[in-house]
Amino acid sequence: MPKKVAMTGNVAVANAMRQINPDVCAAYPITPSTEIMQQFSSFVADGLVKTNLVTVESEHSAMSACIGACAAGGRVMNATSANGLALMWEMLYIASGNRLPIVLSCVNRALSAPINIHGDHSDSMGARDSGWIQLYAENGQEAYDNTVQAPRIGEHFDVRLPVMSCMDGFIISHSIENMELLDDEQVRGFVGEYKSPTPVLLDTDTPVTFGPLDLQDYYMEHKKAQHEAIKRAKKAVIEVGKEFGKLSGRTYGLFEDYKLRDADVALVVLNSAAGTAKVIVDELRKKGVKAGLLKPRLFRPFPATEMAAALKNCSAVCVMDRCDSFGSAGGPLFTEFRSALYDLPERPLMMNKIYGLGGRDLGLDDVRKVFAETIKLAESGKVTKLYEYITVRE
Amino acid sequence: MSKPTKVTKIAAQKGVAKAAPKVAKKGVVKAAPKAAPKTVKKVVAKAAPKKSAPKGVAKAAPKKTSPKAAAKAAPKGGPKGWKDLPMGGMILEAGNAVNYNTGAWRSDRPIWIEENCIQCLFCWIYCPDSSVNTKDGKRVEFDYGHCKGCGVCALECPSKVKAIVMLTEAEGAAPDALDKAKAIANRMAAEKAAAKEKEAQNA
Repeated sequence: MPKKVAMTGNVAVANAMRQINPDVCAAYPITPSTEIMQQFSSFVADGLVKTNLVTVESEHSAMSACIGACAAGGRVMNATSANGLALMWEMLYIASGNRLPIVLSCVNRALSAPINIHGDHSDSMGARDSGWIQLYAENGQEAYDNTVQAPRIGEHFDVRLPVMSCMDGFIISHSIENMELLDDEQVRGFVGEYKSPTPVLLDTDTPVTFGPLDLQDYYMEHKKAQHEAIKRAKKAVIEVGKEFGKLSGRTYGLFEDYKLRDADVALVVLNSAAGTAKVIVDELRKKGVKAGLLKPRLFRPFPATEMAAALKNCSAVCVMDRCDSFGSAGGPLFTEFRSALYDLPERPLMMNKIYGLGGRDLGLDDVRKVFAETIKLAESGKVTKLYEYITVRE
Repeated sequence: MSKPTKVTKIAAQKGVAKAAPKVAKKGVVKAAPKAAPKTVKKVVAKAAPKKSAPKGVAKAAPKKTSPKAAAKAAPKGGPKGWKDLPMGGMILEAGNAVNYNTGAWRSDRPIWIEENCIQCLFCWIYCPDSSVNTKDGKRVEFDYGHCKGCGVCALECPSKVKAIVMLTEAEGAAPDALDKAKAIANRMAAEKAAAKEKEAQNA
């Protein structure tokens, strides 16, 4: 029987890792993800897992160790944040290019400079083109659930790609909330034994080479294969999310549509701020305003057609980005959504708000204002501010 | 050989080939909007079935010399398409470097002077490309098909008069290469002896 617990997001993820019992974990601490590996290392020390915990000298080495261990044939997990993820950059591409289904728990934090340890999405959004599958979580429960599902998604024989499971630093990682943990046996049964469709390095009877030189004659074919593989991840995410639903009662899909079916105005919000936005959606609904919310769960691969279909009946959509894409036509979510909606015969009007950078709070009043502006946009039919910062002092 | 081939097939079927065409088709068809200009559809349709293998490049790379061609080439020959490749560029055939003639990279060529050779096999140990051939426990001529001309063997050769001397590739390919090499080996030995003598005098 699943049990109710009160835990921080970090401890919940560490417990998911304990239940998964990966073969190898690499650890290098960085706030706010430190607690995950700290907790997990105590599980290792207490003999609750058989994991080989490799303490390394940097995040670059952490990801390198993960790559080696995964190529060797192990189920591999790791956690990091912000600059730690940035230092892994080179290795992120090598992990995905080598088609290694590593699971990384990314506790979202702002990138320096100036130094800031709080939650925003500039770390994982910067890694959006690295070929990793990206899952986002609104709360600790979802972060736990995503972590349990991540190995199944990445290791799927049609996919074979690394998975980044993201949650907001501090807001989720360090807040205690009530949630439900599955039984150890349930999780172990759900993730199953690690299997590889190809020979692995420790399979000495079938020696293979990982990561060889690949020039003009074959590189592009390998990238095309990777391109198709990450597209297939969408199907795997749905499959695994359904199966997880049978086990836990919590079914997951590509995104959450909150009162969106008949919505006239909608927000697109990622991660923890979606919880805040839902309160305002309820408030507006009570007043008779057809407000809704789309909370992406799978950002890579981007389920463009599905999300476009979910927003197609809206008159106006405001996409909220907790990360800037400096000099771009909008935040990372905005440009993606705007592109996805382009193919609709009748497109909603759109605008983009950059909020919450470096952990800046997004209060109920702030969301209220955004909704009011979105309603105004729907009524006036005119976009006056396409892409702007909110909750910022002039 | 038979084992890796089997594995290749399994990998290709399970990992790559399975769902691929379906997803691609669906994505394209769905994405093409009703209101979109016609050219979009046409361009997509044209681009999809075409295999993008660069013919010119494939031809230019001689089949026998490329390990990738050896490891991945279909039995029929010719470069494979993306669906048939092992995942992530993995090479499933062990020891296929022998098929890749890296000797063409060489700008300096080691010349072996058999009469100076003490058969210590240091060169054989040090060679990073396994390009020192042996027969019955003794070294024989270099494998110039793979030697990249790094010169480690010549440096490590402990013989009083060097048994390995580096010449430029052009000099090394000329008929008088061995004589030239011998002359250099003798001169090096003489210089070394002179330096030693000088050192002794100074001491």
